[in-house]
Amino acid sequence: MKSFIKSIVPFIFVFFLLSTPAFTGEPTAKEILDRIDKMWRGESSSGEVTMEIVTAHWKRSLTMDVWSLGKEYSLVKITAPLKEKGVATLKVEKNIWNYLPKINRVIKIPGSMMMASWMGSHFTNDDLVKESTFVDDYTYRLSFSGLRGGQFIYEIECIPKPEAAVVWGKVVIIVLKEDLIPLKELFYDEDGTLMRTMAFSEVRSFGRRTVPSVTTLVPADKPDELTRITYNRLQFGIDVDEEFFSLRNLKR
Amino acid sequence: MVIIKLAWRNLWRNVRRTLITISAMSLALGIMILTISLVEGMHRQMVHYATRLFAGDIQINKKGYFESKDIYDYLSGGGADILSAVRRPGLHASPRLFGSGLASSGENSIGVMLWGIDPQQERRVTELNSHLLKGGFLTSRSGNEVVLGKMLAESLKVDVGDELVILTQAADGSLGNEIFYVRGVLQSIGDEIDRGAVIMGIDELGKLLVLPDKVHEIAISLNRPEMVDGIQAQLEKILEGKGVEVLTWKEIFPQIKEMLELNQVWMYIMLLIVFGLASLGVLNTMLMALFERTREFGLVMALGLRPLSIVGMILLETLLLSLLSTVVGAAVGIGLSSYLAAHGWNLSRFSEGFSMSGLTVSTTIYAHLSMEGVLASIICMILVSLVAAFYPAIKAARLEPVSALSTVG
Repeated sequence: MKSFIKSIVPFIFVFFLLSTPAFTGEPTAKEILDRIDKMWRGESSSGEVTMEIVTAHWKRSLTMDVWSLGKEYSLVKITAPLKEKGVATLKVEKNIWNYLPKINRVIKIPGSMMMASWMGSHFTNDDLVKESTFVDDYTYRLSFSGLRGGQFIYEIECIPKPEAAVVWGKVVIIVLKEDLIPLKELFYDEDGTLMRTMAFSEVRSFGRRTVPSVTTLVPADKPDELTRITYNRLQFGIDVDEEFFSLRNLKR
Repeated sequence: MVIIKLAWRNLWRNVRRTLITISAMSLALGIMILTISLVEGMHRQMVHYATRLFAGDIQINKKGYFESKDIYDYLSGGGADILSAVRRPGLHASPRLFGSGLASSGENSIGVMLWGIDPQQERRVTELNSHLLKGGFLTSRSGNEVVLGKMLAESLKVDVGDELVILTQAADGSLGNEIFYVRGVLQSIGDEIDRGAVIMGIDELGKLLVLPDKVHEIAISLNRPEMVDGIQAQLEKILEGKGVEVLTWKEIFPQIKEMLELNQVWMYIMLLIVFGLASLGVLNTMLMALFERTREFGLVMALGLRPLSIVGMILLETLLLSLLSTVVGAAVGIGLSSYLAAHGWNLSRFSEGFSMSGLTVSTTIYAHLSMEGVLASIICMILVSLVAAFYPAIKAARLEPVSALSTVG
């Protein structure tokens, strides 16, 4: 799940900060992105997430258990509210299946629905399957470094490579200079129009790691709407293998 | 009276020439009537396809729905207040609800449009129910049965009786999901329906989308579709202040409206050419007759016939000529049009069935014979011939009796 991935990104920074003998001078854009991409690769995790969705017409909150292994595997099971309890999503590489307990059926999400909403949120199915890395699939540069809005930040502008399977035209990442924890990611389409903003907040420690526990996604065309993901529980380095991410487990 | 008799006799002095002229004029008239009938028939067919398959002649939506297609732009209370406000003889109305979702069967899933209809009302408004390829049509406003497009059924690999899972984002944000069974598969009648429509009872879709008793559209068909603009104005007046929009098929399918208008222009251009040629024929006949009859005109003028009477006589001859042509031409035109109205003209030799604005159009054109078309053609024919005869008539009236008499004719 992308949100999950995003959320562990800051953790990675912190981990590196603690484990490497301090930076000598400014990190380069590549260094920052490379750490992001490398650090969560091969990582496994599990946790509990609350997803709040606010739209012009309704507001709801879903609670779900999540598991992930690397960027290829993830499993999400909704635990509340009752109406959706047991609804589950399995992602294996580029494929997504949804399990619907009410009718006891598994549905595979077709490629044409990748840009459709996931569970009514502002995240798309594509956000779940995305496996691109900033270092491999984007060209990037440090576009700003200094004081902005009262904070010392780095801003990195990432443009997808022509052959990369990325839906965005540009992604701008803003990280806090002090601890390299990301503050914001801005997603633009190919015409350079801002499509959505992802903001990270509530830095919290989960075990030995420190990450922003809240991710808020706001679509640029509907500034009054949002999807907010809050990690209630998060555990890294859990004991799961590929077999765990199976259709059988999706239904269980 | 004498002049009429004279004109009639003159007409038959050169039987071959007169017959050739009559043939040319009749042919022109026949072509004109046939063309008008075919174009009219084609127009009616296009409009029929556009309106009777699904759109209806008129649609009433909540203001803005037509543009936004936003599921929250609905009419409440099942649209009952509007349905009763528009109730009148010659008008049939049917409520509909729309949504989008994912249809899935086995390994195959496709994004689809969900159409909720009231089958009893719908069959009075559109002909969806009579375009089944196999299976049956929906029978009730609820129940887990669906009818879907042919290509969609093929892509999903489902057949009548098979299970189909529908997944959708309901209006309250929840995940609507239900199992349906395929009751029927529709014929290939239009891209939209063909590739992506799953049709079910309106109450069933209301339940799935959590939009109970909501309506997105009220489709209306008229017994007399040609009155669509007048009815639209009436309905707009009745429904004023209700926050709804009344649209006709002309606004729903602007491309078709424009194509029909363009077609009309082409038809007029073609008719102009046909009649231009016919009038040249009349002009030629009369001019030739004039040269041949110079001595005769000189004689009658010497006997005291005034120039105005000469003009009258020649115009009268032309009138008789065109009346004869009218009889023959109208018979040919009406005959051919009636035949093509009954049996159609199969163009499949020239082209495969084609699709226009997402509507599958038949390759058989049925002519539509209208009294207006026939009368307009006849009046046109007569007027054009009289205009063409004016020049020879005036030329004859200006003849000098003495020199005319000495002309070797």
